[in-house]
Amino acid sequence: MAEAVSFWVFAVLALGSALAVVAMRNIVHAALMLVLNLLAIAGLYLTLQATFISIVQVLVYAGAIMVLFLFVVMLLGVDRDDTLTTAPRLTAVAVAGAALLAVALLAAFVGPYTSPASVCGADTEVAASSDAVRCIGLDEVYGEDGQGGVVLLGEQLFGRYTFPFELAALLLTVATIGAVILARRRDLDPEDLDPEDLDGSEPPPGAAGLGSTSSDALDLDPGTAAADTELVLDTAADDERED
Amino acid sequence: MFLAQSALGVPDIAWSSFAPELVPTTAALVLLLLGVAGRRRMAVAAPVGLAAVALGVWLITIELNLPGAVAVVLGVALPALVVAFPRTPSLVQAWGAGLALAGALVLTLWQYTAVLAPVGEGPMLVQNALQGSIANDGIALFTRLTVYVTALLVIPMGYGYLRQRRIYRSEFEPLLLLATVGMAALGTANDLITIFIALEVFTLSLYILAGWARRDRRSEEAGLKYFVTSAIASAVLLYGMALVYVATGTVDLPAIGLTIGLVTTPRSVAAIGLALITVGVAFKVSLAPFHLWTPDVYQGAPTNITAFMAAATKAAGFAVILRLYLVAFPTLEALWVPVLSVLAAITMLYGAYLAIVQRDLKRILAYSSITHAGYATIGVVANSADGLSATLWYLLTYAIGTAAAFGALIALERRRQGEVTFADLRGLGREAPDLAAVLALSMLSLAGIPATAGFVGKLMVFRAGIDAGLTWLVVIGVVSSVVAAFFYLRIAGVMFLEEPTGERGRPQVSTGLSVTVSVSAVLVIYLGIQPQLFLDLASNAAALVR
Repeated sequence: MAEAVSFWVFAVLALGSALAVVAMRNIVHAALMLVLNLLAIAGLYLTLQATFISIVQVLVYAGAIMVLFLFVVMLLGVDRDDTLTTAPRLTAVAVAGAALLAVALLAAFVGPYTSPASVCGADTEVAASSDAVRCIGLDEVYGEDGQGGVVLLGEQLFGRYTFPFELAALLLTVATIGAVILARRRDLDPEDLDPEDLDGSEPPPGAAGLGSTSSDALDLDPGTAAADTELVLDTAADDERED
Repeated sequence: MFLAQSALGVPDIAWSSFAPELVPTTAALVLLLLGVAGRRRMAVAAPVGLAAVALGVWLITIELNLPGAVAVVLGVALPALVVAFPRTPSLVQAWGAGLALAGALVLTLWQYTAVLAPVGEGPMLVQNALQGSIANDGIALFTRLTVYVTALLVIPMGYGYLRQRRIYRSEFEPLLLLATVGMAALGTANDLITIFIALEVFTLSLYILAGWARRDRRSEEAGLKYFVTSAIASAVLLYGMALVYVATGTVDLPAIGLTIGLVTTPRSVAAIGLALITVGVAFKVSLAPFHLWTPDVYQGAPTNITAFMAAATKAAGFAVILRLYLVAFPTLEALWVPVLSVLAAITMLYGAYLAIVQRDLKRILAYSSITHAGYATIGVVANSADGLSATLWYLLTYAIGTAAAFGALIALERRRQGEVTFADLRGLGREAPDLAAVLALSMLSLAGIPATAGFVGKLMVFRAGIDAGLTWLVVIGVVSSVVAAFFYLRIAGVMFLEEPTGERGRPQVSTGLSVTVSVSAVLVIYLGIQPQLFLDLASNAAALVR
C-alpha cells in the first residue's frame, strides 16, 4: 500500500515537473523544475528498492550536474528569455517526434509487460518454461547483500566489467586534457618554436626526420614568411584567423 | 564487514587480448608527462624507459619474445629520442607517438599469428576475453590494422602543417593516440557498455582535435558542431542500448543475439532499441540523412585531423555496426536490412550528387567520404561472411586512399594558406608532378578505377551485395560510382590538362609529408594489383565471436 502511494506521488511529480521543464519560459524556473524531476525519479528508484542508485541520482544529477547547469545559465545571463523562443514549425516537429516515441514506448512496454502472459505477469508457466532471463525480484538479485546492491555493483564493476571500467579512466583523461586546452586563454607556443622559426636561421641540430623543421622554415616563400612574422608580432591576433 | 561475506575474486585479465592497445595508451600518458616536464624531460624519460626495458626483459624470459622486444625497443627509444632532439621536444613527441603506433601494429600482427591463427592456414580462431568484454576476431584485427596504419600515416603528415599554422601543442600526439586507442577498443568491444565507453573515448578526443586551431573560426565551429551533433547521437544510441537491455536483460552482444529470438523477449521493445541504435551509429559514420554535420566539420578541422577523422572513424564506426547487426541482431534481420539498404541508397546518391557542386576540395572529400559510407553499408546489409570481409577490406582501402588524398591537400593548403579550390589545382601536373600524381592516384582509387586498391574493394562489396540478392542496391551503387567518378576525374583532369593561372608558390612538401603520401600511394597500388595477401586475410577473418 505504502509502495503504491509513494509510486503515484513520485510518478505524478516526475511527469508534472517534466512537462513544466519544457513549458516554463524562464530558464531558471525550468532548471529548478528539472531538479524536482530528478528528485522525483530518485524517489521512484527508492520505491524499487534501489537505494544506492537513488542516492547516486540525488548526488550526481540533482547535485553536481544541476549546479553546473545553473552555473552556465547564470553565466550566460538570465534576463534574455528571447533565446528560449523557437520557430513554431520546429516546436511542432519536436512535439510530433516526442509523441511518436511516447506512443511507441507505451505500445512496446505496456502490452508485453503488463498482460498476464508476460514474463513477469501472472502466467508464470511461460516464464518457468523458458531459458530466458528469469523475472526475479531485486531481493533475489541482491542475495544476502542487504546494502541496496552496493556489493553487487562493486563485484560487477571490478569483475565482469573491469575492461570498460578501466576504459572509463581513459575517457576521463581525455576529458581533462580537453578541459585544460579549452580553458587556456592563449595558445602557448611549444618552447622549440620560438627563436629558430622566426628569423629563419639555422635549424637546431638533428631536426631532420619526420616533418623536418628545416624545410618548414626555409621553404616559405617571402610573402608567406612576412605574413607569418607579422601575425606573430601582432599580440592581439587572438581573434583573427591565423592564416 | 560485507567484505567478509563475499570473497571478491580477482578478475582474470588476459593481457594479450588487448596488448596492442596498451602500447599507445602508455605512450600517450608518457608523452603527456614529457610535455609537462619541460626542460627536465630526461627525469621522466629515463625511469620510464628503464621500466619498459625491465618489463620487456621479463616478457622475453617467459617466452613472449615479440612483445618483449617491442617493450625493450620502445624503452630504449624514449631516452634516446630525448637525447637526440634536445631543442625540439615536438619531434620527440612525434617520433614517440609514431614508434608507439608501429609497436601497436607489430603487436596486432603478433596477436594474429601467435594467438588467433597459430596454424597459419584456414580461418582464424576467435577469442572471447575479459569476461566477454572483448572479442578478438576478424573485425577486431582489421579495425586495429586500419586505425593504426591511418594514425601512423597522419602523425608525420601533420607535423609540419601544425607547426606552420602555429597550432602545434604537445597535447596533440597524446590525444591522437588516445583517440586511436578508443577506436581500436571499439573494434574489439563485445558488450554494449564497452562499445559506448570506447565510442566516447574517441569522439571526445575528436571534438577537441576538430577545434584544435582555436584562432580559426571555422575550426572552432567544426569542434562545436561536431560536439553538439555527436553528443545528441550518443544520447540516442545510449537510449537504444538501454531499451535493448530492457528487452533482453543482458549487455553481451552474443547473449543479446541468443535472447532476442526467444518468445519471451518483447520484440517491440527490442525493435525500438534497434531503431534508436541505428540512428546513433548512422550519425557516427555519417549515413544520409544523418550526415549534415560532416561537410562543415571536415572543412573546418585542421586537414591532418580531417584525414584521421575521415579514414579511421569510418573504420571504427563500421566495426561497431558490423558487430551490432551481425552478432546481436541477426534475428531482427527483416527489420534492419531494408532500413539500412534504403539509408545506403540515399547516402550513395545524395553524397555523390552534392560532391559535384562543391568548390572547396575538403568539402568534396567530405561528401566523398559520405558516399563511401554508403558503399561500405552494402557489405553490412549483405549479412554474410563475404559481406563482412568485403566491408573490412573496403574500409582499409578507403582509409589509405583518403589519407593519401588529404596528405596531398595538406601540401597545397600550406602554399595557399586557406581553402583549396579547383583554381589551385590548375597546372599542378607541370609544377609538382609527383604531388599531382599522388593526388590523382588517390582520386582514381576512391573512384574505383582498376589497378588501384579502391577497385578491388568496390568489386568485393558489390559482389557480396549481388550474392545476397540486393541487386537493386548494387545498381544504385554503380550509378553513384559513375557520378562520383566525374568529380574524382575532374580533379585529376584539372591538374594535368589545364594551364596554371597566376603566380603561386610551390606546394610545400615536408619530409614527413612526402614519406607518408609516398607510402600511401605505394600501398594503394600494391593493394590494387597484388591484393591476394590481404584478401586472404580478410576472408580468413570473416569469423565472429557469436
